[in-house]
Amino acid sequence: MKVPIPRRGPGGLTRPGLSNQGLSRRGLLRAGLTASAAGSVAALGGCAATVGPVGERPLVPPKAPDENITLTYWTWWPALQAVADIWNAEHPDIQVRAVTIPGGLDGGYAKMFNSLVAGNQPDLAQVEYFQIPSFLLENGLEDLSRYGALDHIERFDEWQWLQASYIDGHYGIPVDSGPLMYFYRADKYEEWGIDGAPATWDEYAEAARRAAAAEDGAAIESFPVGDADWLAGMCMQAGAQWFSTEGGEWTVNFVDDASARVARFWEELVNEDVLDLTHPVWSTGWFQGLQQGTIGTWTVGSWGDAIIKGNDPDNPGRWEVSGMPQWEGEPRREGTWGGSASVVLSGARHPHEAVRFANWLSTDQRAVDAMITECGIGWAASEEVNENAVRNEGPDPFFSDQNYTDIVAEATEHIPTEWVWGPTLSATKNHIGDAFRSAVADGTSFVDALAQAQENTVRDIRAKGLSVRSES
Amino acid sequence: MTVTADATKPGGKASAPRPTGKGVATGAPLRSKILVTAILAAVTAYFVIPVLWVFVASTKTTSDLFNSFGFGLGSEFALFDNIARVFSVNGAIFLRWTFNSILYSVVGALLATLLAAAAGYALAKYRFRGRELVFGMVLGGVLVPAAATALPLYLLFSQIGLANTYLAVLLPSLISPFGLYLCRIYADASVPDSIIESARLEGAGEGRIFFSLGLRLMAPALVTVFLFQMVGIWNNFFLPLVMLADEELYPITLGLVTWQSYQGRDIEMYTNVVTGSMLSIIPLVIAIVVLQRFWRGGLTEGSIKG
Repeated sequence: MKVPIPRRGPGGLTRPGLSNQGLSRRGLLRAGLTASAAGSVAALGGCAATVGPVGERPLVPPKAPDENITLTYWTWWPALQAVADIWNAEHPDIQVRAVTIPGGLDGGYAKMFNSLVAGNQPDLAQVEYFQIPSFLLENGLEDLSRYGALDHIERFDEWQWLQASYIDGHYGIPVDSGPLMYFYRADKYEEWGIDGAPATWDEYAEAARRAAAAEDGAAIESFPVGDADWLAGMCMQAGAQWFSTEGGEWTVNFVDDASARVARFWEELVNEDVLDLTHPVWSTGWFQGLQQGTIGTWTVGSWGDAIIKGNDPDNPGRWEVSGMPQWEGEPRREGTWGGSASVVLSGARHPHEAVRFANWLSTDQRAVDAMITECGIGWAASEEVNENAVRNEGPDPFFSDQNYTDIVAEATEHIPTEWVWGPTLSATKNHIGDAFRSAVADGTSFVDALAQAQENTVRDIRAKGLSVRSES
Repeated sequence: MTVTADATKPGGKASAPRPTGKGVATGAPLRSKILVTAILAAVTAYFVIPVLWVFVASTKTTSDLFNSFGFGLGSEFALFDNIARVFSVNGAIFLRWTFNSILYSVVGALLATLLAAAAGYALAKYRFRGRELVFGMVLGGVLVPAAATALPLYLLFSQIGLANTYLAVLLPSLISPFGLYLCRIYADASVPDSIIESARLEGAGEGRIFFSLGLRLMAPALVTVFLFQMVGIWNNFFLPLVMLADEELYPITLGLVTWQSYQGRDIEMYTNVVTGSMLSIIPLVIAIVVLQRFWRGGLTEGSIKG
């Protein structure tokens, strides 16, 4: 069921949303040194590494055959070393040392930016897909297509591979992703008179009303107020495209028809008071609600299965999982939430070997299995390794004898590949969070909240000295 | 993460009984006594409740953590299991983090106190040109938050090859402008010139006078400086975050954040972070309980003499 991947151009692939026409790296990702130094991504004040555009740098040669090297890999998975040890046992000349650092937005990315400025960057780092353009803006990543990454392209699913492709290069080897899945308490649905997972969003709205009416204090789902990852996944699923880079400039459009539809849909349900607003997702009260069945659903990346199970381990058969409800009149689409790639920070000393290791990490079945058992990763980089993974044990008693892997695999075939992240995403997430929190608090329009976040994002990108325009 | 714990101890214990007891408020009308007590009780609750939650939560299993009332016990008393797990998970690295935290904070605070004492003593007891200028600059240093200097320090340390070493965290921790300020004020008030003069007449060298007389007379202030600095280093997150890229060197604060980043994938980490936080408070509580006698004595003594 592998998606055939066309080979094109130096970056291997181009996406519909990312035209190469008349497009200059400079305009999109770098407006010259002044802009970058003045408005550096690193809030800590780090300025861009002064090593010149990645494509113009001289190629770093592979190591000499008798040379022994050690690669450092910065990750937020505490147990990645156990996986690297499998590689280390077979590659005495290329040893990999995993260093655990705080998660990206908990300080990990700031740390990486600082290391670029100070010149003691690791060889490899784990970076979430949404953060890749922010690193490109700071010239922080090596173009892996220059170091043999494209040799391995056919071992990855296209929709995952493309999440690390930008403009004229390829900047990361996908490690895992999070197709959006719909986890629900089948037992409670039955009690509330809901007939399984809703097939459409209209059915979802109906189910939400039913759950609220059926039981005091119960709700179909906790509304993730201000969660930009969730919202982006929802909009992606509706066919939105928040960012694009046509004509050599960034286009930002948070209020296209699809996004506005999503915003209006949730605004209506929030106003009807049929969603849970008192137990924010990830709070202890919310975990409790899932256990007790007062919150019946969680829409989240496929990696949410570990949390669902860990929170409620002793009650197999209560939960079921399905793909997302669909929008009426639209082709089937799914979304993604989360996921990360192995990147090579610019100026790293051994990019050839780093790419070799990163490729092994993502596609060797033993590595993937070890990452699943040791690191609890989400959906691995190709359908093949997922189907053959330790996790795929056929029908899962916890999920009422559904085959979890098959359900996710099926959903991944409908994930749009046009989606592109913007270059100032961590700020954008804050803008969305702020705008939606106040919209919910004040009862104002969610579409306006999106428009507000768009306006702020355009200003951020402009402040970086990049050309950008607002669509609609 | 744990500042609240230490802030409460002296505040809660020392001042709460005062309005009802024989203290300053004896003559005050009943209404204001009640008001003051109520305010203090509220403040105490504000600081104690989160700590209490951490202690209660660390006795629960992961499933109970979410399935029982936050301040009540869970169905199982899992405190010892949780502690055992914190010390064994992730290659038993928590022990290493604890050792690092103790190293950074105790060694750092001891040396910082010594430096602050020496500098404060010198500024108080020696007259030299530019003395006030030096003191003014130090006072300025009090205003610069440590976080603002972390990044420049990191770039400097990277250049001289000290980033990602124990020294990267220890060296910046040795400087305490506030401690120096306090030591100068205290030395002014508590080390009489006449004693120094007579020691000089006896033939003692300046070093000896400082170490055997000055330090002893300044002891109460030194305890204060030591405690402040130790708590500061113990709770410091930003400097280690910037400086270190090797989990073997992490202090508890930074280590727990790496675990916290991971709890989205492994919900058991939630319990480990909670229990780890609880454990990380304990050394501070011990330090405060042991040293607070000196601390309070020191501050009042200084204020009376000054």
